[in-house]
Amino acid sequence: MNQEIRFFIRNLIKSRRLFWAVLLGLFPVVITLVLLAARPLLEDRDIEVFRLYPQISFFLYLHFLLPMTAVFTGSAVIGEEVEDQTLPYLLIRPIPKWRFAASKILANLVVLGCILILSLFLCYTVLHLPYGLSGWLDESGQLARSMGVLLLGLAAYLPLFSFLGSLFKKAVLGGLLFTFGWENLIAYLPGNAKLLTVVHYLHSLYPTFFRSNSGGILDMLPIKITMTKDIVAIFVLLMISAAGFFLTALVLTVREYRLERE
Amino acid sequence: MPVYDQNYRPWEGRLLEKPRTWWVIARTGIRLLWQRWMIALLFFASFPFIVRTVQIYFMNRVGDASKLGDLGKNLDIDAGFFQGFLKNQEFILLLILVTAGAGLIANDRRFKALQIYFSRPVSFPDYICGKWLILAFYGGLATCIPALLLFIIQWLLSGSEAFLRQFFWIPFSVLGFSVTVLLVLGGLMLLLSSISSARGAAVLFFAVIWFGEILRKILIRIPELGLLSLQANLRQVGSVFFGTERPFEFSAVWAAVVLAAFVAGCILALRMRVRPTEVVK
Repeated sequence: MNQEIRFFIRNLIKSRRLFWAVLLGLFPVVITLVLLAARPLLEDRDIEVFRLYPQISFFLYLHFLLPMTAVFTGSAVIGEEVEDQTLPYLLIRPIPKWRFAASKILANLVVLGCILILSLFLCYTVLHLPYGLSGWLDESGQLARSMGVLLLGLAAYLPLFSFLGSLFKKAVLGGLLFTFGWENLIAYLPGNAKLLTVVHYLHSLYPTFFRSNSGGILDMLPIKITMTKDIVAIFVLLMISAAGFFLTALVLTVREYRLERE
Repeated sequence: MPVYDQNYRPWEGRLLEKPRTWWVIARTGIRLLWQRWMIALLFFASFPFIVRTVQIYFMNRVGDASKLGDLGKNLDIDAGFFQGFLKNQEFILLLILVTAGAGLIANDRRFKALQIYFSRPVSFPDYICGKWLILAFYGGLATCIPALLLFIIQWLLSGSEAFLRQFFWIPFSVLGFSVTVLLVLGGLMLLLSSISSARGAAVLFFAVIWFGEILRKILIRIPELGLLSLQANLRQVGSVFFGTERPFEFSAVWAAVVLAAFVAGCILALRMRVRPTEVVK
């Protein structure tokens, strides 16, 4: 499988999709650089730059970059091959269809994971630049945890949207509806409906900002929202990931793709 | 008629000096997009309209003493009601624009159709206007049409002229605001469709809209940064159209200037991207 993963990584590196993903990943870094440059202005308004890290990592990464890149690349894993009519050429190769699906998803996971992690690392470093190495180290635990959660989130979202992409032509629309519609609507509601979102488990694992004991978002809500235990959240996310892998491979194996003639 | 009797017949039509090609582009685009996904989205978009209609009905027709009357209680049908309705349609409007617009120019570029378009009497304004009208049509079905219908329903059910006399200007506000929203979001959608693939355009559209909003939320203590968010600017301008309280602390004039500059920027960028010939390096 290593060979296939390497092949797809090489392919991805040459694609235009990577350019957009990198561009999206660079946005927060540029924003933090601008914030750093505007530090005196922000301090006049009682805003300490490094204190913005939890908000930036929560809103910009967990609620924006992660779902956005996952929808963008996840839906393209099979969908792009169907659109470009290149799927038959891949499927006639002497490798099992499940291995093709799994290796392509894994290749995307590796590349996107690197972009997200690097971007978050740069963002954290830029925000902590004025406070030296000790300032950087003080909250590095938070950074490590955020990185872990982002990777877990990517591992859950990517196979899920790959599955959508293997089923529907308009998978991007479905993905956007799910992440920005359903998850945004349900994740902050009391009751058990939020258990049907991926973001709830990510919230349960995310450090500081979301937790009630640190004056985070949970404290601002008028209702009490219960979080899932860490171990359960990790288990559910891994299960979603496994289900996504399995279903994508299943659809690819069972379904006969009829390619449109232009 | 025997074949040998058929001879060449010259075209007898009248050559129009300015054929309305934008209308042909719009009409064809609208017809091609009327598909399963779009119908499903428009169906979902109609739910809030149905709920509001039921509320208006109970408020006007069922007495306050009735339990059913509670459904319409505390419902002020004024400018804020229509503004709120349009605001609630925002997300579904984004989805409709993505469904309708992501491939509008991207697919023409992909299949090299721009050369074919511009080899006919189609100019840049015709092309862009036609494509924008497609977005405006589907966007309007989710925003201004139901809002105007709600206005008419309230007028018909209220049974008096007082409502019309007091709020006669609301249909103009609804139209004005809807056109502004469609100009800004439609312009953005077309621009992104011209610089990326259909899939990329869809994702980038959400990225541009969400990014500014997230930035505004992160630096909420600096109200002027709301000018970076398209959504915030649109809401601020919307409050001017409907004469309601400003939702943000920055100037509504500046919001309008930002939106106008944004639309102008989109047109300029489109002008550069939509060309009949492409130089391959």
